[in-house]
Amino acid sequence: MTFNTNNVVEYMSCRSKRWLGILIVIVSIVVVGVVYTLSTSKLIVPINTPNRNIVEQYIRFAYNPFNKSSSLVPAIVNSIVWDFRGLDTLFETIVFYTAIIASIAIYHEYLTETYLDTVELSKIPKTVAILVIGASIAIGLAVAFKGHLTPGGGFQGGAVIAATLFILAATWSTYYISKLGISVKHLIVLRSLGLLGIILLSFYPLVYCLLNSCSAFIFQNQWKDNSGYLGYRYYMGDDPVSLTIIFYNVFESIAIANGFIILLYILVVSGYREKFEEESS
Amino acid sequence: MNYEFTVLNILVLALLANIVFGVYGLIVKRNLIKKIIALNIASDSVCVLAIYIGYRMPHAIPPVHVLPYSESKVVELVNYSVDPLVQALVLTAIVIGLGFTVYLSIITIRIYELSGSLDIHSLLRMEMHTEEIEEAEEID
Repeated sequence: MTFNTNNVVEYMSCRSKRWLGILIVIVSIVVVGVVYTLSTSKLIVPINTPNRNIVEQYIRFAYNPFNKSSSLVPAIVNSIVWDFRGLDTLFETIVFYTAIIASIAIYHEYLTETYLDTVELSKIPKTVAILVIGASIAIGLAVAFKGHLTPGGGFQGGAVIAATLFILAATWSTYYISKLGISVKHLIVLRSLGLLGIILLSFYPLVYCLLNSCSAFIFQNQWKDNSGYLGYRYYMGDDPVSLTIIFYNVFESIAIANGFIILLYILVVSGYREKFEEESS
Repeated sequence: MNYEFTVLNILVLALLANIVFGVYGLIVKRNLIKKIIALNIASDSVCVLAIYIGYRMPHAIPPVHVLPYSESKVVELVNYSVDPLVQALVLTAIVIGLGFTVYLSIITIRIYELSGSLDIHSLLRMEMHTEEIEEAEEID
């Protein structure tokens, strides 16, 4: 094949092929650039550096028994979630709560026992489920109750407990769970109690100081500057640990677990409603 | 050539590509379920990227004070622990992501029950059609 100027003109006149040529040039430049930066620089990730100053302050103020205003929570993430950024977490819980309320509002007329599925699995999965369920609920409770000491917390514990009931629903059917006494109304009441517990607990310092004529903050955990509220703590050996955070974690896990199970009911009802109506008609 | 950085940078580029694909799917795909999946891919990739930026490479330790308290342990945490602030932010992001996924899924199921379609173009066409019918009824 010989080089001909006519061929080049023909090639250039064809729009799609010209775009292809430009694309090949751009892609090759990008590939060369990416390979060069990959092999020489650290790009955007700050690895091998010590923690930033603000993070150092969080770490130092999360647990320090010699500092009166530290939050006395050994798990630093949990102390950020429920002490330094407590209001943020409250509104995050409310967002999840509102999303589930909206879902209930769409399907409220079908959330009865008649629309739940009754399919049960065989004996083998049931036996396995019995073995798993006890351990799983224990893990969920441990994650929720010890969220202030180890990694974990209210949301994670609640999710584990809800997952246990999902196993129960898969093996014994949602109708069976509903017959056990876990109906949608009970779940809504429990979930509201969980959220109400968080809100009341966050206002407790204000009420305490109203009665004892001192000043306090919403979501206050331990002592702060300009505040007469001293906070509550218990002792592990000789080490003080904040008492309030456990209750926040437990209330959060109650709210989240019940929210998840309501969600399971809604999904089952939305899936089975049409089939049920076809059969009945 | 540093192989460690190369591998880590490829991971970052893959996450960035995931975010781009998620946004692309959110805009271009016509199926509502595919839009929700794309949104989840994008938001989860952002979460993983945030967690990765908070990671400390050589001797990462979890951000938990081990009792009893001592100053040397705190210095070790400050120097080597994973960034706890990012983890708290991502926890919030996960819960809110779950909230909107739940709401969007339930609404999508309801839309499918009522109209029998998940394609956004045909849904818009249906809406225009019903508007025309309503206008014609008003004229009559």
